[in-house]
Amino acid sequence: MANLINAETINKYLNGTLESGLLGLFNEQLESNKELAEQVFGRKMMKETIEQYDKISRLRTVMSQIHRRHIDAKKRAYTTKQLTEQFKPCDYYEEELQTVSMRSSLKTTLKLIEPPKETNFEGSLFFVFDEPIAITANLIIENNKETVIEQHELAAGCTNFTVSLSNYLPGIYYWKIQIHKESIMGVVFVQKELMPS
Amino acid sequence: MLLPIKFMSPYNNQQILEAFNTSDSVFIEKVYNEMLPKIERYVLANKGSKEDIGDLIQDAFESILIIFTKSDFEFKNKATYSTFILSVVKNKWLSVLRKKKLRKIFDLNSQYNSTEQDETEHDAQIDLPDEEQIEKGIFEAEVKQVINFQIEKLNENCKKILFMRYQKGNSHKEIMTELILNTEGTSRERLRSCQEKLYNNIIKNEDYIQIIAEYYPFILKTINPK
Repeated sequence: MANLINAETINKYLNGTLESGLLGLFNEQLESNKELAEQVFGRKMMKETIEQYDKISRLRTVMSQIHRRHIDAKKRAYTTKQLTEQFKPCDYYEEELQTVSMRSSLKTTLKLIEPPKETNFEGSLFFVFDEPIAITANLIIENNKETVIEQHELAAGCTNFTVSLSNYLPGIYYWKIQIHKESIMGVVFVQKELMPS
Repeated sequence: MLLPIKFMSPYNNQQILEAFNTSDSVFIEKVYNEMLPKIERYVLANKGSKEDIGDLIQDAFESILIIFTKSDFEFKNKATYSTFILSVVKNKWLSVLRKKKLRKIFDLNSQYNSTEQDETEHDAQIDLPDEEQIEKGIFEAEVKQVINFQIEKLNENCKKILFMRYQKGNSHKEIMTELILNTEGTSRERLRSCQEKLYNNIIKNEDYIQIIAEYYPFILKTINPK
């Protein structure tokens, strides 16, 4: 019987170039011969890893930068002046909040269960609706300088949405959900415990 | 009984695979930011602490990046990338709990559902990832981490010839010209020698031996996916 446990034959098998006469025998032995199975597996993994090597290296760099940014964000220190600036309410939005709130209570059909009003968040912000939204909606989050921090499209049928706040500076933020001609708005704090008294 | 879960994911599976295969850091960070709170909630609801989360995420994404960049990878069972990533996290977390030798490992699946209940949309269509695909993916990723480390340790000439052959698909004639070798036979011989050197380093590695012993049934599934 032919000895199939050699690099050349296994490489041919993996490359799909093994002679048809040997292929049947090879597959048969693969099921019962542990040594052959282990060699085929090891060489298959080796070949795939060489093929993926550059991608894996680049992605590891990307991932380690992302992890580091998250760790740095948690360790970041702020001056009182910075914090005062970041927690200062935005006059325009505070007024807008009153108006939207009054409008909403009268006619909006969109009901939000979470987040509660003026809640403090650290890791993430959850939006939960009382029922699936009927059509696509837009979620916009801005800081107190009216700068858009992020914007998302919420698909029709969505009942909830999560926003990660891990890259957010401590401060006050305003969110707005626009659906057709209606909009609801709210304010949230990130790391409110850092707010200067 | 497991309830079907459908996360509202802002991206589609194709976008995710493309982002990982092109190392699109901006997009990947968005996915990371999307997944982070879900992973945090899951771990905290399942006997984990905030300190556990960082290591778990790093470990899970290390496997995910290897799984997503495999050339023939595709999501089975109509799974979404977010349920797939969460399933990898769940498997990794289960493994951490086992290593901590917790006497009672509770039903993670039921916890998984209950903790995510307010984030899910129930649907008649089952889109939980294929459990075997997750386990096999994690196993292969762990093996590839070991092999990757062994490739890093190879000398530059060996790396170059292996990459030319297996990443770029260069012929021996092209390798001969590029590396200024005398004959195509020299290229063939050098490639064979580098392959054998790498293969021998891999099979002697303690971590590799341990992984193979632990997951032996997956070897046959990997070489014979039918």
